[in-house]
Amino acid sequence: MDKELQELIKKLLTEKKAEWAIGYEKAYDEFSTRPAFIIDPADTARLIFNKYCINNLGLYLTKLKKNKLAVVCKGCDIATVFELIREKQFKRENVAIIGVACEGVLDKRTNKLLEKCENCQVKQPKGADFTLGNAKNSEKPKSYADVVEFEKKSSKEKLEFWNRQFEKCIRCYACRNVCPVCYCPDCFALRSMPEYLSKHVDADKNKLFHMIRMQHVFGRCTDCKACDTACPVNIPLSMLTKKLAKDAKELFNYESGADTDARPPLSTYDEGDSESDIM
Amino acid sequence: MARIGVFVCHCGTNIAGVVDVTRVAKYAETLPGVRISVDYKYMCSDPGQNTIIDAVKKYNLDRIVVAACSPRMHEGTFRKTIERAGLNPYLMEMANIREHVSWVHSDDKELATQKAMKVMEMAVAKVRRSEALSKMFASIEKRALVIGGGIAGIQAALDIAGAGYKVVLVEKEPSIGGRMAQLDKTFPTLDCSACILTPKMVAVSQDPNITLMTYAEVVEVCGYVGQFDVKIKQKAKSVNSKCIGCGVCVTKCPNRKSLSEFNEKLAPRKAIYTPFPQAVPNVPVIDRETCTFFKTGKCKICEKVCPTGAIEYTQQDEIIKEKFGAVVVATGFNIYDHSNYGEYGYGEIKDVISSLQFERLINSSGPTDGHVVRPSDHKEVKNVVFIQCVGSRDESKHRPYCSRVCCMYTAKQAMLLKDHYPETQSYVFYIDIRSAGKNYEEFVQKAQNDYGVVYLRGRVSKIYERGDKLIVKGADTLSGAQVEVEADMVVLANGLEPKANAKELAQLFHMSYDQYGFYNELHPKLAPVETAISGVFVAGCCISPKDIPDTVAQASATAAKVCALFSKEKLEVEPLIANVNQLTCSGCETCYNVCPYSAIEMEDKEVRRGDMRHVAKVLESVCKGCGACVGSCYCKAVDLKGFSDRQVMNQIETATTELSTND
Repeated sequence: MDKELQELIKKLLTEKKAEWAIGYEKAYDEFSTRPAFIIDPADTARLIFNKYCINNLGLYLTKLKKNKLAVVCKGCDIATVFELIREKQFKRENVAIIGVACEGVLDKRTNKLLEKCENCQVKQPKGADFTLGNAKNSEKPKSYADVVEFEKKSSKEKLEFWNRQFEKCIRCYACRNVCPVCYCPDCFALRSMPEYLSKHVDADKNKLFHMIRMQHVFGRCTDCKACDTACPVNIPLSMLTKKLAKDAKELFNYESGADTDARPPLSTYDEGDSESDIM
Repeated sequence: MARIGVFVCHCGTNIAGVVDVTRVAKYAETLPGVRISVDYKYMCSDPGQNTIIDAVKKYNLDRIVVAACSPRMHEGTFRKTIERAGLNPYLMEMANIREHVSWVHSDDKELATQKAMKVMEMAVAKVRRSEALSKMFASIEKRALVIGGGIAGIQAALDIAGAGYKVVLVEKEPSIGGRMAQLDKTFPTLDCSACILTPKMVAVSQDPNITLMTYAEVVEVCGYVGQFDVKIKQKAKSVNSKCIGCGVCVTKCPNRKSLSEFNEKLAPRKAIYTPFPQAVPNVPVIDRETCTFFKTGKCKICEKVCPTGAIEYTQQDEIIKEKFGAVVVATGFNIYDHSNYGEYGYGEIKDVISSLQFERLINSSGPTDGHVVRPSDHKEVKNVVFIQCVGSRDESKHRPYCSRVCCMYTAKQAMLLKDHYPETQSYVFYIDIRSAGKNYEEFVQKAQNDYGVVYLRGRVSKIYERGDKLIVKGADTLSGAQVEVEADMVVLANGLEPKANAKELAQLFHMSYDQYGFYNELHPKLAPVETAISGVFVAGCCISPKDIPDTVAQASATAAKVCALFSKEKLEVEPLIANVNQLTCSGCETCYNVCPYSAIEMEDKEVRRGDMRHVAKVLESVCKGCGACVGSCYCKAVDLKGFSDRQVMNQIETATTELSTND
């Protein structure tokens, strides 16, 4: 598939269908990949795709949005691209989506399949401009069993759990920086006039930061797990993002990144809307 | 450092009776930036206001906090005060220690005082970050929209047009006239309803300033006072302007399947129809639901007989966009549906009729040419029972309010019946007689004394049929006896309720309404025809049940309000509007989508040199300052003037800290 990928991108760049191509290349060891930004068709030989291509390259689209882009996307990453189009960050016609079939990616820290890859419905990408490879989608639907299990805990237990987690947080903002939908030109967390959030690193303030971030990405987060994988202190942020996805689905029958013309639940009002709390 | 003055009002004993105002004023002096703090009996009085003005001059104050009542009450007053003192009016904050404190915490004076101190402290925190704002002016589209073509709408339209302004009168039915057109005579003068209404209807159609749109509905409203953008759906009449109103089509139409709404379903009507002979405009419409041609594709008799070729089957519903400066809503009422009353036969006994049906029966242009006959067998009547308070003053039917007109119209109907048929006898079951109004009590007395109407104080427990008679069982609580009346017909005094779609219309304008759907006035006493939405006025029974004189008076009042609005060249509008910081805007269009007033525009702009971006912009004259965009913006790029994030964050911070009191 690498060969095919390289040829395709070479063609797009030579024919000026894209000015920049974003893909993966090998990093320092065989378990590591990193984003590759190609402008010269001759460089396309660097491009690869394998089970360690964990990054969501949708992240870079907002940063390079003034150019015509080609981007390599796993099935799950396409939702991010669609979500960004819905948020008018760039036009559909300016991004060539190269979907690659994916059997799941591995967290190199554990060498285990990422949790999101179990029961994946988009191993074979949907909605891409070009699709490479073949993969069979899971027959089982996405499971929210872990979230359901956690929801059963008492408020006190939940609070204790998250307090412990957020005590670890060093406010490095890695989660925010890798989040494709966290593209605000000036993040609230760093503002000083007014200071929406104290810059002190303590469990309370950290918790507030994460809660506000979750509220900001509700209905926009595609549950890509980039924040979870990026976290240097292993805070299970994916439990929060998964809960967001579950709530959006259950309360509003909404799925982020499914439709580029949709209106996310928190910016619409309908008389039939669920009245229950979101978090 | 700000130089803040704090002025604490006693409001007589309204505040001072609960809150220790001196302590609040003393506490204010300890706050950073506060130069002077005073308490006074009535801050809004002339001497009170002068205290503020003097203090501004003496202490060179640049920001003011008034701890008193709700800003809805006196914000305007105190803004003017500090303007007179030479300050920008928006450098004043009100701390509401009356509605939010003294009135609701009268049981704990100590805690109330502490809360008052906190509320005042929050206002000080907010005013510290207040910025001077300049007044804004907006243009006024000097055309009025009147919704509802009943007597209220007609009167409002005529009065506004009479002052020389253009009016569009929108009516849902094919003709204007409304409920008043259905009535036979009016109390207490017994003059003929149609005789006094018809000239006004004709005046509407002939007034060059009035555009009449019948068979039309308002479907969408945008904008604000001075600039309402309204979409009106003109339903297809299937008859075009060539119509001369000869009525041949109606006569020849073979389809009599539907029942006349105007005659309260007592008689059939054709598929092509005008509601009543004096209809304005006198142009029939085709009811496409029942018309044979629209259902089967065959017939077209009306087209064949029409001498002018006015029938147009291909007409489509049309959406017409219009701009208005002000709106009068006068949508009127429905009568309560008595099929909810089991004791009166669930609406299934044919000879138990509603009051409006009686009006049609006794009306000489009604379905029976004025003969009061039983709907079941068309026999003339001898004994008639009238029952009051059907869907009024009845908690069990969720209609606890009095409908105001039923006592009067029942007396009228009983008198009319006696006039037409001297040998008849009427009985009225009532709870109390409410006849407050000029010549009203005399009118009811006349019914009892001169017309021999028997008034029985009590409720009816059951009505049932025995042979061709109706047996009405009830109580006479004055004699303490059970009574049974053998009647030929029972007339119910149905109460008044809002139109079925009153709530939907209110939502179009963002007007508030009560639990029944009656529209809320801005103030029940001092602003009885205004609504909370500036530029939208209400008149008539859509606010609450009322009689014709009150309705007409209210309609004229709305006209006066509209004319006063239109007499201004420019409209002063609050500068408390949203503002986008385009440098931090990500262009996601969330605010653009949530704005209920379409006050956000997206533009492609070079926000910094070489930084071309897709960003939001606020249309200043359209923004109402609701803050929906501010809440929706996760980039925190939108701010609301007068309620900026800096002000609000300051307030929140203050609210969450302990009282720094050591007194």
